[in-house]
Amino acid sequence: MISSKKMDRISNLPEALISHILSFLPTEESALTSVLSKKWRYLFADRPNLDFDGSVIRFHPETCEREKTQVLRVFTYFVDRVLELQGNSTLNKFSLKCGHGVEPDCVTPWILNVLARGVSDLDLHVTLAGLCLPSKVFMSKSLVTLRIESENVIGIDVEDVFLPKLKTLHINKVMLGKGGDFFEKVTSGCHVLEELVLIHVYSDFWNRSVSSKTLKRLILSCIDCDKNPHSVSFDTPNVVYLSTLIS
Amino acid sequence: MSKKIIFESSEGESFEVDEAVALECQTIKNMIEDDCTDGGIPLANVNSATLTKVIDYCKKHVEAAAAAEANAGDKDIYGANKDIELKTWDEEFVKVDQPLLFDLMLAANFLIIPGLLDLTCKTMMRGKTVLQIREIFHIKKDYTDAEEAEVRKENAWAFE
Repeated sequence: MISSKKMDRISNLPEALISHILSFLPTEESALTSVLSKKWRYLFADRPNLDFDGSVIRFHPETCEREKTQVLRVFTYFVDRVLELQGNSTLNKFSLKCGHGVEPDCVTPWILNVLARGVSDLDLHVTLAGLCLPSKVFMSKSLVTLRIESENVIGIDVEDVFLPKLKTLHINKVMLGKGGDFFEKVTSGCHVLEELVLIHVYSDFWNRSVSSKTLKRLILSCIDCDKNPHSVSFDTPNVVYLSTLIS
Repeated sequence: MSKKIIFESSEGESFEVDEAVALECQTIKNMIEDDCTDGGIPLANVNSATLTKVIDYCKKHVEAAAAAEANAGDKDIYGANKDIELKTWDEEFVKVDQPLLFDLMLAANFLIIPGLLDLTCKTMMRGKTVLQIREIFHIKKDYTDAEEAEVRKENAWAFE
């Protein structure tokens, strides 16, 4: 009886079950289990949800730039490696936080990778100078939730919008280039959109109208718009929550 | 009166539950649909202590689902169900010792109770360091020092 209590029951579970347990830990934390034993080396990467946080907040204020760059290179290597280990497996959720110092050229391939794999929940919190996110984030048959946020302002050139499954769209501090008719593109390209939150979105969509039968929650906020004001008209019969802050 | 299903634990103890409760287990649901539940369902790999907890879980969730249906109109403006009470109950439910938590997970996996499987899996390693995980689960290191250094290097971002 005593010996059975000392048994390593968990390593003898089917690998899929171990990976399922690990998938509830944050990605970085689950990667620590790679050191347990050979069996565990790659199991953490077999997960349908990924979250990476390379935001600079974790740095001590006195950390020098060179050291930051080095650390962020380690971050980039980690993201690259996990994505490589995953290959083409199904991915439900991808959450990425990163700030200055991460090479903008690395970020775009990550996003394209997860979009190609049919991610349904994409959460990008990126603050990178010189980064223009790929317009493909607005072209996905699988996305259900899309959040794009930055501390300063990042740009996206919106070409076409086709997000037939999208229910929630949050955009915060983003410049939408070519997005003059963004409302129209969104409402015609997102047939089941229920929640639209646009905060500090720089685009000339003011003085236009929003027309959607599916929208239930709508938040528009734009402080410090320089070239506007600003009226938006609404034809959204099913909205139960509406908040606009345009000043 | 609702139909009853009888489970038999690995110790041979019988547990009578409403069919609705048993239906929470996908494996049992399939058996009920195939009409192979007469004379009870022997669960040779689930002991009485675990089975008691599993039945508690299924009962609670059947009741909660019925209550949610009755109050279907009672949603806040964000459309979220008021399921905080059930979440709190779940959290309390898994405050058990490690071996029982492990057995519950195995039972949920075998009986296919997705909610219970996720709940137990989520709790299994939460808030534990790798060192604690190694101790609790008696996981033996089979890396050489050089191999371990290599693994740490691979995932340097996580280890730093």
